[in-house]
Amino acid sequence: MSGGHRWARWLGPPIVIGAVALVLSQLHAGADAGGRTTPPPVGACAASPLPTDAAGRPRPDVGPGSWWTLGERLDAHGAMAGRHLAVGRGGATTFAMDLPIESIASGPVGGVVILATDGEQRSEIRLVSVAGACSWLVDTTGDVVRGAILDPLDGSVLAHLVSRATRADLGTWRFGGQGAAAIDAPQLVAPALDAGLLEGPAWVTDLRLDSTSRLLAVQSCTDSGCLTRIFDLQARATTPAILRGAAADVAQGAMLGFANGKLLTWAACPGYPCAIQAWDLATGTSSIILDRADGAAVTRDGRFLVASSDSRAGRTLRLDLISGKTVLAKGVRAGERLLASGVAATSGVQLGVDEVAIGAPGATPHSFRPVAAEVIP
Amino acid sequence: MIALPRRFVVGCSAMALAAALIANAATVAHGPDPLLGTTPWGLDQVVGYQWKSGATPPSWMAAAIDAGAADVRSSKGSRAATFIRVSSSSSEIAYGGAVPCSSYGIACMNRTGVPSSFDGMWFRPYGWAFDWGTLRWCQGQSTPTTGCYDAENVALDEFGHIELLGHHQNLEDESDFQDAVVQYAARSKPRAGWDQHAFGRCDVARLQLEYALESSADRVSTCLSLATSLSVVASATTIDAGSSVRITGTFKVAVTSAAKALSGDPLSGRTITLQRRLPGATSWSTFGPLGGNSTAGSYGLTLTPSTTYDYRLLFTAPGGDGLLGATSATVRIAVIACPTTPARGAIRLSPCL
Repeated sequence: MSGGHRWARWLGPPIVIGAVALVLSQLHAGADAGGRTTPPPVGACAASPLPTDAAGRPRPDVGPGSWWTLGERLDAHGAMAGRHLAVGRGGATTFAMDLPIESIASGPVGGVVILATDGEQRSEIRLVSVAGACSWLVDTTGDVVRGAILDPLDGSVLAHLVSRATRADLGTWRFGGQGAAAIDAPQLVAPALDAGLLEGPAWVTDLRLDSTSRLLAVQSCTDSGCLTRIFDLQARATTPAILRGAAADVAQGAMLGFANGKLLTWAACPGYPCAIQAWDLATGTSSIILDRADGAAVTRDGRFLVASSDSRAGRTLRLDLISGKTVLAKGVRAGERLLASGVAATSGVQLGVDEVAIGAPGATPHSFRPVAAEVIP
Repeated sequence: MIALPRRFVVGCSAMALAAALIANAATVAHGPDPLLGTTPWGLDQVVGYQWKSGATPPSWMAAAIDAGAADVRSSKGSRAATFIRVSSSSSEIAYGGAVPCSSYGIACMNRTGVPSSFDGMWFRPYGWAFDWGTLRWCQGQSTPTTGCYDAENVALDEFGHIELLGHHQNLEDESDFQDAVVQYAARSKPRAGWDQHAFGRCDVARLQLEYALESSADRVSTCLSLATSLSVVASATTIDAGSSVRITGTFKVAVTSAAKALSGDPLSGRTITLQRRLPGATSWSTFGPLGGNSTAGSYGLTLTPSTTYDYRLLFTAPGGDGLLGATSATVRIAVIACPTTPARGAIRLSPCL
């Protein structure tokens, strides 16, 4: 970790203003998806756009229906030239902007998209207001930000960094924060993975918080599977639990989310259909809770796993993770997919704790509330 | 999608995974690839695919994917499905866009829909950023550089998954890596196997087990060691001296559950040898090879024995054929020595009549 310092909460130094202006100069009206035809002007937010209550605590419930999509911009040769972010709410696109290749988004939370972009020299972490069509620079770093999520407890951003020079894992750091929780300098919350735990370079590192923001899952993956470290953010001296498969055929795939003392992940499959695993946080053991799915998402409250057994046909299962009951459910249309979050995500929608995200190619993502889904007898 | 079994050999998980996608996957190292899923394509099925609208690959990638499909046709060694690009199909292949692969995958597929179609195959675009750096496809470079990934090899891997192939279980030292294209992790240039453009023998072994041989004369993958069955029949078991007899052998894969689709299938084009010995002798001598009959798996030889012998057929497993040797049962052909000119008035007994 190098270079990061907190300077931009109020766009103080002129150099900051210049940097923000450079990025924001790329903001332009996005394609309309219906509804609004003239997006509001965009620019730098005057303050952090994360809504807070009277006590200064973030309000993640503000701005339901906010969404983002992050597509690729390819050059004439088919190589990535950058990415394209579109942000909106409901059926309307608020604004869109071109971004560098190494850009990721997460959220939205409280109507705010968490955005990390990397230039040739520095990475920036921003909070982008969907409704305000503006962005707020949380911090910059000379290292490369590979992933960033918002901690809704205090409005800070947890970001995974790699070395610009060597691409080595530099751990996960906390940036920013709201009000009294604001920090002046990034704080290490999860150190880099010990060399040797993965026999090979990490391909991706993904972050996930549980619903209380107490447990942070840091999942490191090679090109064939993953291991996950679970950090207790309220007991930082505690050694993280490590979840990993004991053999190739039980290797761990990408994370889905926390649920009732477990971490749900895909199995390490070559594609789909694929099994879904539940890893016991206390024992580290895992079991298969669904033997085949081609899409899946878990509600943040840990109550339901929603899985497609055939997404082209819209065949959707709802697993009650408390009772263990599985039913066929309506509500996900043929061709829609349950959306994954994480560093490779290409879209996201603001969700209630009992919702999951779904989307179809070319369409804006939307939420799905499994508890209210009509059950197919 | 493509990587590393032994990177996870140490761990605290004791998952009781038996099921599901790796059905029948009690695969020992260096055996046939495990199964991925349970639903096969039809024998010799031709599966069309098209580019996904809005995610059409650039020309260099399109050519590599099509070449991967052609590699399937030329190296499957079985009646597995073939893949060919057509103008309209519900099986779509995408370059970039909303790639549903695991975040750590450079490509992946969804075989949901088999045997009517497959749901999709996806490739991440050139320049996609991973923690370690930037994905480079070799075909997208005028001169492939160290660390690039061969798109044709990766496409062949993905088509292998769509066929029914799971990741090959390599030996600990990965000395058998090139026995399969369908691997946990593709290798980048210049590691051995990075540009392999034909299924390896353990890929082919699984395809043969599930989809049978294209022809009874095709060789069985040497990743297999299948028991065989060799039977012998003589056109007569008692003949006059000077008469001919035809010995027919039938050579098949032995009927076993392990041989799956190959179980009981005829085997042509092999060398089946006739051996004989005098009654009561213990050692056999080679008489000669049988020729192939028109019926698959059938071999024959006509001979004119001068005396009584016991006969048997022998198949000696050669290198290059994943079969175990076999020996038939024994058949005795009795030769009756009859007088050349029977004496007048003598009673002539069969078979000298």
